[in-house]
Amino acid sequence: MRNAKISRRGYLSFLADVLIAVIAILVAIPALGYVLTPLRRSSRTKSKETPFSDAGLLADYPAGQWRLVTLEIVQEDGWRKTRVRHSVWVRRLEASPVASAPGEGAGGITVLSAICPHLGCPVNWHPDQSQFICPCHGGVFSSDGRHSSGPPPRNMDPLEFEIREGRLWIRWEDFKIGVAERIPVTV
Amino acid sequence: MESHEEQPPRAGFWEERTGWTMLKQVLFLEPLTGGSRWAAAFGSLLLFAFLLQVVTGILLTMSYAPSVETAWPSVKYIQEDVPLGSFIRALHHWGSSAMVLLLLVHLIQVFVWGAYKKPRELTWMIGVLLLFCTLGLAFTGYLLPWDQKAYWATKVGLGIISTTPGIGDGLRALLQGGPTMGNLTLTRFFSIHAFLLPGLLILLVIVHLYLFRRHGVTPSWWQSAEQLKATEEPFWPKQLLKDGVLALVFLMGLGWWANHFAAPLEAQADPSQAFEARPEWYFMFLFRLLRYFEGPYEIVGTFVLPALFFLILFFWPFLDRSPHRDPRRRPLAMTLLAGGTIGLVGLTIFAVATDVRMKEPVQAQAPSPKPEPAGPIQRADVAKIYNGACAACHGVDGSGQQIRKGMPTIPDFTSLAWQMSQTDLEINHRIIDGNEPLMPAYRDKLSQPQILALSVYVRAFAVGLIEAPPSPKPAPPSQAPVAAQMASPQIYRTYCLACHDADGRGQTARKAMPELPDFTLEKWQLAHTDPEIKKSILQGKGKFMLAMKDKLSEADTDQMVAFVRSFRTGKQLILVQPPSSPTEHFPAQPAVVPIPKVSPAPEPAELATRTRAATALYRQYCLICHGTTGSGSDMRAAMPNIPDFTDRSWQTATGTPQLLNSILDGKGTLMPAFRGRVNEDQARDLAAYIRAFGPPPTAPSELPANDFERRFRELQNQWNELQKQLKALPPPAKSSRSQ
Repeated sequence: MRNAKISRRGYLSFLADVLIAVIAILVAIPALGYVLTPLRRSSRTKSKETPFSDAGLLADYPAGQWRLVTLEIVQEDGWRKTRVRHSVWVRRLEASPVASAPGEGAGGITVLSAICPHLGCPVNWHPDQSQFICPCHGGVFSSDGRHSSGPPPRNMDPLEFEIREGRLWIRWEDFKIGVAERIPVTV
Repeated sequence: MESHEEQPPRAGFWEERTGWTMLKQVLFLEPLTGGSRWAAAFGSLLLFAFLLQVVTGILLTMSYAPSVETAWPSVKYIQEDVPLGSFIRALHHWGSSAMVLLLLVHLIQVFVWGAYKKPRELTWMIGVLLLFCTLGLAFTGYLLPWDQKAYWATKVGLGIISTTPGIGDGLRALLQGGPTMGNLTLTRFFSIHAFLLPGLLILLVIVHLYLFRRHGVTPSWWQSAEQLKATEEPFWPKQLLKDGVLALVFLMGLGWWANHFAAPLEAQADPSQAFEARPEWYFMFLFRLLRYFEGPYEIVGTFVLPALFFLILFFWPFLDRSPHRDPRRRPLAMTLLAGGTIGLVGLTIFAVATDVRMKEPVQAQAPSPKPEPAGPIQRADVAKIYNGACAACHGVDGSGQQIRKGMPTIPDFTSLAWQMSQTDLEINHRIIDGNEPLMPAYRDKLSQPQILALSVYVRAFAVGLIEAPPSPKPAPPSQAPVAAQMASPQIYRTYCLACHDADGRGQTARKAMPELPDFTLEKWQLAHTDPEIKKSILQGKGKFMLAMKDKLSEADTDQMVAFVRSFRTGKQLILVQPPSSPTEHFPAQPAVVPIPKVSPAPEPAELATRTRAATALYRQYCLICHGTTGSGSDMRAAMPNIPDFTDRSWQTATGTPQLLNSILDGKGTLMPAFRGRVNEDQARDLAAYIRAFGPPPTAPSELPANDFERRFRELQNQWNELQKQLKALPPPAKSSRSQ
């Protein structure tokens, strides 16, 4: 009798375990599906490119100086659109409004992201020393944004810009910090 | 304690550090006298339902924001944009109803078993406290979407609470978070719903379970002591198996239900809009009950009876002192149980069945036959979109009257005459493209199906009974909500043209309205004085002419009287609106709002321009005879040969060159030539427009479920066809665009 009981119970206990496991899985699947949404491929690739933001008249930028410009971007934050502000460094080298290729100081206009590629602190321009210095861990960049000393793994990140009828339009972008390669942030 | 262990105890790594086998013994191998029972599974089923609510609730709080401005948009976001959001929300919503039901089942089961008798009285009382917690969770959770239903139901609920003698007002203020219902109420309710009550509930469940285990499961009354001992077996696996099966069935059932029925979401809470508040179904009995207590006796219904009921429930183990658990030996208890259950259930059913709403919340009545034959074409979900995106200016009733002072040209959707001056395509286009600077473009704000649905929705305002709180009509006509800024032709086009015609002759409508005057007749003009005409306009005339006094001010009417006079030349034809030079759709502005890249030929802008031009042209030159749908039905009595654009055979039989020819050079004796009034490109665009009226290329395979679906699909086909046709045409020459 006891043996029969055990074997039947063995079967039932197995069944009970399976049942609990099934229930747990059935609950976990939609729950995880919901929670892991930000990782899904579709939501990643869906993050559109930020549009260009108006940075003012080019003529207003004094030649030869670095100027901190605030860009306003409308960001989609779930159910609302929020206005986010980002600061970028802009320098116009000559009086000519001709845009050079977005790049590191090739004459003309340079636009650099103020975000330090080391760990993300905003970088400051020090005119007395003619260099950019990051206040967090002492990263130093030349007047062209090139990394000269300190922990940052690469140069300051240039941003895309356009001249439209005498106005400067800059496209804000976020790049991955802490790596040598410049990779836009997608997730 | 007997221990039937399956595996040899793993007195190894884990056992030494955690002693888990003892835990397993205590938790899972508790002996159940009388064996495992299905009836005993309902308690754990209730617990499972609660745990499910916790899981789905936590998921929801990842996207929900409890404040007056953000609550509803965030819930809408969960419902529409978050993957699986609507499913999780539906699980949570229906799960709460399920919990109430399971709660009742568990209560009844425990009651019948007499499981509240000594020494288990405390277990029962904790259970009643758990009941309170559950109802509290339901009440507080209900407010969180901050939609109309939530707001008004909570307002009433708090009102009921305030009738508690003595502490009522204080209690309400405490729950409200302030003197009135508002943001603080919402944040409080959220905290209570998501933190306070769940925490309390979990604590009470632990105590409940501890007490339950301490006394052991209540033995079944039909087994003798020996039988009970003989059939004793441990909780695991058999009872757990039964619990598990019920839980699985419940999960599948709830999952199917949630997949099938979405959780509702009404329009955003608006304290200024009247709304018939209703609680959730499990409070409907109270809702009904309160009808029977009026005036000074109201408190009987709101406080005395419920308090009495809960006190009796709570102290029941001490009221029923009979030692028998056998229900057959407790006739009084059973009678009370039966009576109470039947009473509550019956009252609930009665309440729900007889619930007569004075006004259907945001659902239109079927418009009477004009201008389109249509059954009820509203759907509550479209109403939500409308209320969120349009009602701020256009009003919930479509009249736009609340802002007409500041925006005088806003149309009145309830105006039949306005409706009859618009084709469906034009309405659709207007929503997509806006009417800068007054009406924003919704191209980027709403999806295409949403816009199409709204176009259908706008139509039904014609006999507008959409939840219109009787708005006080302004008494002095000088406050009548129509701008004097509308030029006479514009007013005429909007309000008179449908019946009186472009030329004032009124030929179109005379078949239906034999008394309709012909403005061009000298005889008629002489027979009527100015004050008479004015009176007809303001007060209406005869069976068909509508009173315009709500739409036209005195000054407007005087203007229109003069306009009517001007028809006597017999040569006035109202088509002078130039194809409007569209204001730039994408004006350069400081980029606070992202502006799409200005590429050389912005396709959507050009298409939109041409669509706008085509709709304007159609409205002025064609609509009168060919109708808002292109069927020409209105005019067919007078013009038997007028084509029906919606007829497939006509569309296939008529080539585009023929269409162009008819437009530019006229056709037969009745259709005029429009060369000189439209150029070739415009004629081509018009031809595309006419093509769009045609039926879809393939006949629909199944009959759409209801009128809304049919109209939606028609409009969708029309719109797609129009865009396709316009795209296929060569782009217009530069000159025409700048007209």
